[in-house]
Amino acid sequence: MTASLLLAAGFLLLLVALYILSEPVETLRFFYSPAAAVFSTAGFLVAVLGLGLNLWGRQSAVFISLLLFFLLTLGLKCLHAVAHGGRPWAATMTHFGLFLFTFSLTFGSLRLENYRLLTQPNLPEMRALDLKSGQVRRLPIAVELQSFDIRYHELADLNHLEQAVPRQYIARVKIHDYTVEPARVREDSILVNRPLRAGGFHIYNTSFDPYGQGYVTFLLVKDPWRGATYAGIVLCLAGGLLLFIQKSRKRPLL
Amino acid sequence: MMSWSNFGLFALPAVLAWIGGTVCMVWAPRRGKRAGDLLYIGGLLALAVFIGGFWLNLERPPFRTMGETRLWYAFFLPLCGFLVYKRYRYAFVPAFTTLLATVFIAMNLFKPEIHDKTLMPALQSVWFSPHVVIYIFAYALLGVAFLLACYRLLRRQAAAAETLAVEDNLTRIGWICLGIGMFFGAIWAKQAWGHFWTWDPKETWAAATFLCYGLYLHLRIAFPKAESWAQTAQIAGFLLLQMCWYGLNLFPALGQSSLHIYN
Repeated sequence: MTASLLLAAGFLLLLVALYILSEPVETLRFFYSPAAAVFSTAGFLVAVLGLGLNLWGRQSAVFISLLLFFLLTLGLKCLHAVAHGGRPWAATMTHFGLFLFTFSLTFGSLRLENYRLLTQPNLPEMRALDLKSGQVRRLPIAVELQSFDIRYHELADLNHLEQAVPRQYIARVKIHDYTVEPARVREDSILVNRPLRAGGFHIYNTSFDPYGQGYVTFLLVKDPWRGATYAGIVLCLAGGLLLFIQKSRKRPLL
Repeated sequence: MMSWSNFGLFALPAVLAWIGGTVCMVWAPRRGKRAGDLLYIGGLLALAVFIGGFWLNLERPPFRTMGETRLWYAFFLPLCGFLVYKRYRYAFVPAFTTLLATVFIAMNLFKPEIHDKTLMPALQSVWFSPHVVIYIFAYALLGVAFLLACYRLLRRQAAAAETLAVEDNLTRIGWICLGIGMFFGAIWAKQAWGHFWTWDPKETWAAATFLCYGLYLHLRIAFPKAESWAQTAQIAGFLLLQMCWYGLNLFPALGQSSLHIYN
């Protein structure tokens, strides 16, 4: 866990060091030039295409090095823009937003925790399968399933449920949160597209047992870096809007 | 009650109006100006009325099936072509967009892929409409940019310099919309599946498309003289867009594990 923080900090330090060194060492200035943007974007495009065509995986050396080179040039470009007062704003915002988004997803994935928790009605459950290590862990919260309802579209014929299309899955749960003293119990429902937040986790209603034996599985996610990812998205959207309302010019302003 | 069965009643007059409008724009740019505008707008209105009625009748946004996205494409493509014509006066742009929209309408008339009128739980979200609408709008803009790239490649000597500026601007706006659609999708994915980005096949090809258009724009800045490189990126971007849009349905080996395919 701390290793991932060190890696991220090391990467940022490398960026700053390279940028400071680019003052005396002229060749280093290439890394934040438009030409470097072309090469690193083309490189990352190749990496992503390879992923799409199943040529290599996300953990492969090719993919990771091309992703890191993309992040490196993007990060240096951001530093360079900030060091020069940030103008043009739209370009700086989109570049910085894209950097924050990609950086937080890349390094944040090392700190991401994913669990699958299997529940039966009225039995509080705090053991969950860690999807990274494949081991069962005891969580600081317990999920107790109270009921699970499937809402169908109104026109569905109730005599032919297998043909009916579900509209929403509603899990009524009782959450026992042991991260606070004394432990807190609360009741709520978890819907598809509406996760529940408790004890630092987001609890997702992802699947249920189709054979009607009453088991319901939940996905529990702890994503400490999600704030940075959201900030990156907001910056990108705001920068995009600024780019959009700017007057069109002979040359694209980026 | 508006449904696919009366699509032809709106689509055929729309196509005829667009063809008439294009004829006015191409052959009588001065005298036929007003008639061309009115015909083109009339065609757009006819299709807009159908889409509105269809939406009300379905009781859900019509963005789920391929037929429905083709319907939007057939609306936004001539709209973008018309706006480009109003701004830059290139009559060949609405001519091409009319042709493409006609192809999409013909596909919907002869193979409408009528699906049931329900949305599954994963699609019950406020992010659904903005995510899809902005993507379709981007596809339409980038479709016009693609046509401009082909025009420039085929008529290298004769092509006026301004068409390149139009292509740049269309690509830039299309790229922004592509990015907004992608980030809306990331926020939605976090809400629905727990993660912003999982390299799901659809996401992977969307990222490739986004990067390829970014490559075009940066090539135009870094190497403005090497236009053929940029045009190659423009055309590759459009091909990637097709792959992302419906190509994954055609190649099950690449798209089978996608959470984005709702069949």
